[in-house]
Amino acid sequence: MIQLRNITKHYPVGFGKQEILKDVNLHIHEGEFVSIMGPSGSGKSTLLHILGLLEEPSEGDYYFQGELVQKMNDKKRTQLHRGAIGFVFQAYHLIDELTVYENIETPLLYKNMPGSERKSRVADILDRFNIVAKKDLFPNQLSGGQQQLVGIARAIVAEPAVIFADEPTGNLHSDQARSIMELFADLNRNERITIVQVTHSETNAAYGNRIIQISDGKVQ
Amino acid sequence: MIKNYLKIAWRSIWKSKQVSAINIAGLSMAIAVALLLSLTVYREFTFDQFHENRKDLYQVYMEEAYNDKARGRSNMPYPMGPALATEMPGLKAVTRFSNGGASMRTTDLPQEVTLLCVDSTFLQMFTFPAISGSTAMGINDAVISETTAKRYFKTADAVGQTVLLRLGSNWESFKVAAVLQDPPDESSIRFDVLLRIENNPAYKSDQNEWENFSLHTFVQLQPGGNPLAFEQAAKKFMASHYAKRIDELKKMGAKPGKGEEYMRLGLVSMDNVHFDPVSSLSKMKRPVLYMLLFIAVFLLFIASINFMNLTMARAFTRAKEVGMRKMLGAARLQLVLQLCGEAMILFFISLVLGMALAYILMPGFTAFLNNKLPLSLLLKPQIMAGIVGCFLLISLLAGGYPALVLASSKTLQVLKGKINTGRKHYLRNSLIVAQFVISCIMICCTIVAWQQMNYLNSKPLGINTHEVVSVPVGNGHDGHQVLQRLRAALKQYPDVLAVSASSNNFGRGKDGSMSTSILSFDHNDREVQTHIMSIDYDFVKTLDLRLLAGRDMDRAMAADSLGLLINENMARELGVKEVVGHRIRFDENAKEEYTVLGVVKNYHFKSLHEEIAPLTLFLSNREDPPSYIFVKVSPANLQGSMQKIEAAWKTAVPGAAFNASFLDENTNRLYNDEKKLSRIFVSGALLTIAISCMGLFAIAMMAINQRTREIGVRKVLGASIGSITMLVSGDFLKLVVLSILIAVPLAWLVMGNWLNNYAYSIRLNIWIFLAAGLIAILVAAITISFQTIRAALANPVKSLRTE
Repeated sequence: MIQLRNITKHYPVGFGKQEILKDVNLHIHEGEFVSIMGPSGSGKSTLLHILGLLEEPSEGDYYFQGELVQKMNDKKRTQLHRGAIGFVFQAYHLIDELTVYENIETPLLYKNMPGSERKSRVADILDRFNIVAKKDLFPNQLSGGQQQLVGIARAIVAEPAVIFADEPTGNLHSDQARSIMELFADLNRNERITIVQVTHSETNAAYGNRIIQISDGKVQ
Repeated sequence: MIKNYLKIAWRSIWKSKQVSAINIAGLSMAIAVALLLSLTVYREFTFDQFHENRKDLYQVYMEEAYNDKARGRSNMPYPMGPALATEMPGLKAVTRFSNGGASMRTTDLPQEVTLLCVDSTFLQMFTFPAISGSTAMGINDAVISETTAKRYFKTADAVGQTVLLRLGSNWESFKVAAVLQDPPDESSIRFDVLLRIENNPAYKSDQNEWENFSLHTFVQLQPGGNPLAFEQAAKKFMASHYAKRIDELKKMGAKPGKGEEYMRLGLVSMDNVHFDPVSSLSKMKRPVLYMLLFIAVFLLFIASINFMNLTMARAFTRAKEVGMRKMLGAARLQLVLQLCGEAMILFFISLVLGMALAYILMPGFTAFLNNKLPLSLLLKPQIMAGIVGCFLLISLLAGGYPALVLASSKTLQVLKGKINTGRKHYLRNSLIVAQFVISCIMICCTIVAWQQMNYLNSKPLGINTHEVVSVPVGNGHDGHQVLQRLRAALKQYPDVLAVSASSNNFGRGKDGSMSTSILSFDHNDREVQTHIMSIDYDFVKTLDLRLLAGRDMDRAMAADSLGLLINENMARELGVKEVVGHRIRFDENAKEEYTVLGVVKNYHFKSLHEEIAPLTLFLSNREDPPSYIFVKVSPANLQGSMQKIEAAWKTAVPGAAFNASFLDENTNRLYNDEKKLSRIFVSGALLTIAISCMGLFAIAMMAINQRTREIGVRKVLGASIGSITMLVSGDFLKLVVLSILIAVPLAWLVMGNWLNNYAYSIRLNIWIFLAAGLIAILVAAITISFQTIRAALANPVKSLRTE
């Protein structure tokens, strides 16, 4: 599903350049639950951003579902963001002005889904995540764990093929973290959603079925 | 989707209530005022547009070349109209009309009406539709307006009734042949009653007189006719009818004007009659309208800048949301639409409020400008289209730019809150500078205009304006008789110090009429021009003129009926050594020889727009009765004296209107236009400043919010409140100083030009501009300090925690 060939990423710094990723080769199959681990500054977040089409690699080829990403135009990428890719962030990144319900509904709006279907989809998700009672609250009225729950709900409501999670439990205490990770495992197992997460924690990494260690921009 | 946008737009507007309120308040004020001003301008430009033939209608004017410059006038002699009709090619019709008032009555007391004596073609050329009756206009027919019909007959159905009009010294009766719809408010030609021109008392003596100019003359060209062809053909016409006059002008050494002509005829199109200064029907100056439009555009511009800056600043604080939306698959167009939509909502609210405000202000505004602005104007399709166009343009500009910047930047960067707007805020800053340049110019103009007005009001005119009452005699009364009776009636009051009269008023009286008479004659083989005025005995005493030589006219001396008083400039113009006792013949063939009795010190008998010209005062005679009576009263009880004069007037001339006013009121009225304009300027300046400051206030607030952390860190490191205030204010004050530097030369130029309109004006002083700059800085500093001091006083622990 995801194939990286000789991916390199560097940023210009002063007169030279700083290499973040060096010659990364990676293959992720459909239905995998991959954890990317490594120390701070090792390049794991950059790798995730490249995987999520948020950044361009400097060199190398990236195939997403068999298509070469470099050749995709903006429209195609937007299409992928609407349907195939879901994101979960450490800082949740919910839209402050929208209620829980509206936050979850937003990706469906961009997909131009008809109103009735949209309603039932959102209702399903709310139900499944046990947050029906919270649907009219605004993000700042929720705890961190609840916010991340909404974040995940928003990521999966459009039924993506893959979820990229950037330290999804980084801001949560361990009880909340555990339930979030169990949710991921469950989604992976029962709905066959591919999950790629970046994490510091061994415990969290253990929920996945494969660990990629990265340090100094190289996959070990 | 739309619902989602609207919802989020409303929530984000509500979230930043303060900024939104400022935004809306500024914009709606600007919209209200701009709307009123542009409606006024629009109305002025619709003048005379209702004539069906207006494309082919022209007013005839005549230009005479003198040695300094050409002078134009639109008053034509009686024979001009018929001569044009028979001799000039390409004319479909010609009409002449006199202007003036007359007394009209049926059975009751006479009332004043506006009477035009016209050619019978008048109603065919101009579009004044009849309600009833025939508009053929027979010699004994009167055509009256609907309002006049109702005033005299209590009904619009007045055809066949008889009215009596006082023409010259007789009452003559006319049959009402037709009732017309009232002339529209937007008409330069206004009347209550129309008669055939033959009924004008001057018709008999003047019908073949080419040198007496008193009639408006309009021509209607053949459809699509070219006015230039008329002007070309008029050369021969003028050469044949004014051969003698042209010779005289040549002898005087006049420089031929346009087309190498000494005298030429020109045409003013109907569209221009309302504006062209050469037309005696013109009431409005185009530059004034452009000025108003200018202010309207300025205000809108300034408010739009605010709107843009604030929308932009707010949009960037929402970068995170936009980034998230991009990640969820929002296309660029969708984001732009969303952000534009928010700008539109804000703008729409402002528009509605602005229109409501305009509606509330309308009565006061129209009363102030003394014109009528029907509200229905708002519903005209052109105006509607203009409003909607402005609405779309501004909201697209204000909402579109930040939207485009946000939507095109990299998702990841936006999400992290980094937007590539250039750290230096060039766009925002240049917009702020533009605002303050305009504000500064407005402040400068206001101060200069105010000083000039003060100067005009306080400049001594050389006559006693405070204690002299001017009483217009009015139409239909013999000036000599009225003067005699009033003198007798006022004799009993010790407060009345002197009574005199003249043919001209000082300034503009309550009757609103002003006139100028200029006489030119040969004196020692040189052409001398002088203003002339006829006066009665005691003129010098009544107006406190200063006699430099000679004496005033004296009742006891019979020879004084051919005596003259002249002013210093006239004495200089005559250029003789012993001017008192000098004898002048104004016409080589006339038998009267006048003697200069005295020279008075120069005084301003015209407005201060003009330099004092040579002036000659005659004693009024039987043919030239006084039109204004001047009464000098003791300064002790001015209002009481006014009442006594009124009582005396009522006994002297029963039933006549009493329109007396003190001379200083009259001279002040001369500057009414300027006063109105300067008041509009003052209000405009205040508004621009207010709106600019609102913008600055909100921008400062947001800039400081963005720098909360920096301020916190600085405080922790030991920065004082003062230094932080300076640091943050400095950024903005630099901009204001820059604006002042740009504005001052511009304002200097503009006001220098304006002051050139006055023969007597203040001198531009750099202090005025420094003061204006200081005001701008002060106001801006106070505005910003509200925010900066708040930020500086805040507890750093709190501000650091927000990150």
